[in-house]
Amino acid sequence: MGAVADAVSSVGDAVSDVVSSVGDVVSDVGNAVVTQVVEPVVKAVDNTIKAVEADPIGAAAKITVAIVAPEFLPLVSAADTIAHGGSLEDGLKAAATTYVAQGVAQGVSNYVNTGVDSAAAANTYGTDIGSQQSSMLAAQEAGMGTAGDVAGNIAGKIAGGTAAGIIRGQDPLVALTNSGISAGTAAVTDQIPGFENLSSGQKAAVNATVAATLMGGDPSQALVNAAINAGIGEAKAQYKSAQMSEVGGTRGPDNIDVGGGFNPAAGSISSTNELAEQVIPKGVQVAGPLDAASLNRVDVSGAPIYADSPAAKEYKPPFGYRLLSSTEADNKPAGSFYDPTTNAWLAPDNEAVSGLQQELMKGPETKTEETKAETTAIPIKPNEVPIVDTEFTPNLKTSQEDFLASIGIDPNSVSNMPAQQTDPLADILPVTQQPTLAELSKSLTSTPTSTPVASVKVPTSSGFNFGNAALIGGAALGLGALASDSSSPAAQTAAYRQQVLNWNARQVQPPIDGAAQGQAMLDPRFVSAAHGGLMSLAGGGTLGGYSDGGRLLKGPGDGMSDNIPASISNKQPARLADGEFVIPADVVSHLGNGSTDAGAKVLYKMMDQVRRARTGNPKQGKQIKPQKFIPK
Amino acid sequence: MAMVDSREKKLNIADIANIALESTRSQHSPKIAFPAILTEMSQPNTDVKQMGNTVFILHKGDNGQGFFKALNADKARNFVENSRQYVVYAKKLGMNMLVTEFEDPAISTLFHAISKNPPMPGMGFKEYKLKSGGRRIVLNLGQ
Repeated sequence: MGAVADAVSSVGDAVSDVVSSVGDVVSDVGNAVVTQVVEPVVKAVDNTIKAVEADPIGAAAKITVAIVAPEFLPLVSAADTIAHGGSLEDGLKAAATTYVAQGVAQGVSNYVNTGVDSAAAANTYGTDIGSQQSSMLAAQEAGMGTAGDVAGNIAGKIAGGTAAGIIRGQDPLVALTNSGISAGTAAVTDQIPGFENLSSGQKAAVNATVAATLMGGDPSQALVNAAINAGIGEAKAQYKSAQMSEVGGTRGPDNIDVGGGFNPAAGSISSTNELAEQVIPKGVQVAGPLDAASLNRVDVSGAPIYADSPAAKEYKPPFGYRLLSSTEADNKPAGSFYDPTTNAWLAPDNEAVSGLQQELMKGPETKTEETKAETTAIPIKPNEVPIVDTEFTPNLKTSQEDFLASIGIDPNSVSNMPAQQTDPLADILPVTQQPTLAELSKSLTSTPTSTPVASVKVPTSSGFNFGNAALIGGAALGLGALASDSSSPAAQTAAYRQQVLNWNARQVQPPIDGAAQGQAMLDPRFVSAAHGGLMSLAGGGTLGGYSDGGRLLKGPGDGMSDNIPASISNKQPARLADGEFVIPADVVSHLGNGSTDAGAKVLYKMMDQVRRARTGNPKQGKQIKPQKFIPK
Repeated sequence: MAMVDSREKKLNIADIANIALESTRSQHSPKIAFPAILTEMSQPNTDVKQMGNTVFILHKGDNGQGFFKALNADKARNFVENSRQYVVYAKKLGMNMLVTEFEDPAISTLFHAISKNPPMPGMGFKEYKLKSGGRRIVLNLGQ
C-alpha cells in the first residue's frame, strides 16, 4: 500500500482534524483479537520467512505446492514474479501444475508448518535443507508422527521431493513427478467411486492403471480426469471379474487363470502379482503393497443382499452403485453384477457417477465475484459491540458540506442541498475533449450554441487550492496514482482533474491564435466583463468554446484590461482579460447542486473569501495604469 | 510496479499480491514476503476475498471478531471503494469487529475516507498508536 500511502500523504493534514483517537492506550479488544487470531498466523508466517531466508527455492516450492484452495491457483502463474531465475519459475509452475493434477489438497496446510521447519531441522541434524529427511525430522519434533507417517503424507512427498529436486539441479517437473507419482495415484483413487470397498488386489490393479495414466502425460487436470476414468474403468473390470469368478466363470481379466472358479485359497498371491506385473509399467512405484491376502475375505455364504432384503438396511453400496432388488437380479439388467466382497447384487448408479464426473470436470471454481455495497442494516449483538470512539451516522451530505467548508463557505448558506453527494469535478472534460485552437477560433466568429451559461472570473494566482475538495468520496486518495497513468482516456480525465486541483501548477496552452484574436478585437460588440460577475444570465448564451470546458485565458493585456474578445451566444460581445478563467455553466450549476443561482453564490462567496484572505477586502482592487508607476 | 485501475483491467490474486508487496514498505523483500503471504492465505479460518484489484485477507476469530489486511494493487480511489465493499462483505460473513495494523500512518486516511460515507449505520473505528510505532485500527462494522 506504499503507493497509496504516498498518494494520500499530501492530504493527510487535511483529515488530521477528524482522527478519532490516537493515544498510547492499546485496547483490550484489539489485544484479544491479535492474541487469539493473529499470533498463530504470525507464527506460521514467521516460520515461512525463516525457511525462505534459509532456503528460498525449496521453501517457495513447498509453499506453492501446499496452497489449498483453488482460488490460489493463479498465484502459480505469477510465480515468475518471484525474484528468482528460470529454474525456480519452472519448479514452481511444475510443482503447482502437478499439485493441481494430483489433486493433493487435504492436510497440506499442516504440512506447511512442518515443512518450513525442516530448515531448522536440517541445521540441527545436519541433513539436507529441503530434503524429505529434514521434513520428517521436523515433523517428528512437531509430534506429527514417525518418519514413516510423514513419508506417507502426500503433500510432504510432493513438496519435499520437488524442493530436493530443484536444489539438486534436477529437472523440477521430473523430480516432482517421480517423487509424487505414488501420492498422486492415491489422490486420484480417492476419487474413484467404491475404490475403498475393493479388495487389496483389486485396488492394486486400479492403482496400477491410474499410475500408468499419470505417467503417460504432462500433469494437468485433464490427465487427472483421464486417470480417474481409467481407474473407474479398472474398478468396474475388477468387480466384473470377481462376479465372473463367483458365478462360475472360468477366466478372469487379462488372461489370468483363477483356477476354474473363484478359489481364494489357491494361487491368489501369485495371481495378483501376475496381474500387477502385466498392468504396472516398469519403474512405476505403486502406492500400497500388492496384498493378496484380502482375497481371502471373500465370503459367499448366506443369501445375497438385495435392495428388498432386510440386510439392505445395514448395507451401504459403494458410491456410484446401487443395490438391485431381487426381481432385478433375476433379470440381470445391463451392468449389474454380484459383488463377492460384500455378497450383494449391484448395478451402476449412473446418475451418481454422472454427477461426480460433472463435478470433476468443472475444475476449480473462481471466487472473484464482488459484493456490492449495500446499506441494509444488519443487527449486531449488544455484547459484541466494541468500544468505539467515533460513531458515524450515514450522512451523505458530509462530503458536500466538507467541501464547502474547505473553501470557506457556510454550508447552511447554500440552499437546496440534495442528499446525494456529487463530485463538482465529475463532468469536467478531459484535456483531449477540450476545443482545439481552430474550434475555438471558429466559435468566436460563428453561430453559437444555445446552452445557457454563467461565467465568473477568478484570480489566476490567488493561492486558492481545491485540494480539500478532493476529499469528496475519498477521491483525494487516488490522485497521485491516477495522475501517474496517462495512457487511457480515464487516466487523462483524472490527470486533468489533478491539474484542476493543483490550480497553480496547471499549464494550458493559449487558447486563441493571433489571427482569430485580431479579427475578434475588431468586433465593436464587445462589452467589458473584466470586473467579474455574471454576464447576462437572463439572455443566456455561451462564451464560445470557453464554455465547453474551464480554460485559463491567455492573451494580450493584463489582468484587468479586457483585451480578449468573446461573445455570448455570438450576439452579445464580451471581453475577458488575460489570466481570467471561465467556468462552464454545468460546473456552476453543480456547485449549486443543480441551481445556477446557488452555484453563482458559491463562487461569489469564494471570490470574496479569496480576496479577503489575500487583501483583506472582498472587492477587486482598483485598476491602475502601470505606466504611471514606472520610473522614467 | 504501478497500480492498475480495476475498472480497466482485473488482475488475478498473484499479480495483486506481487504489486502490493512491491509497493509496501515491508522489512522483507517480495521474494520472502510472497511465500509468506501464500502461507498466510492458506491458514485455517482464513478468508480471502478479492474486491477490484484489492485482496483482503481475513483471519476469523471468535464472536465475530477478526484481523484483516489488504493487499492493494488498485488505484487509490478504487481502493477506498473496494474497502467499502469489503466491510459490507465482512459483515455478511458474520463479522462484527475487525482489527488491522499497519506502519504507515497515511493508511489511516483510508478509514477516514470510508467514514465520510459509511456503508452501514453505526459503523465506526478507533485508532491506536502502538508502542512499536505502528497503528492499529479497531473497526466496528456497525449494524
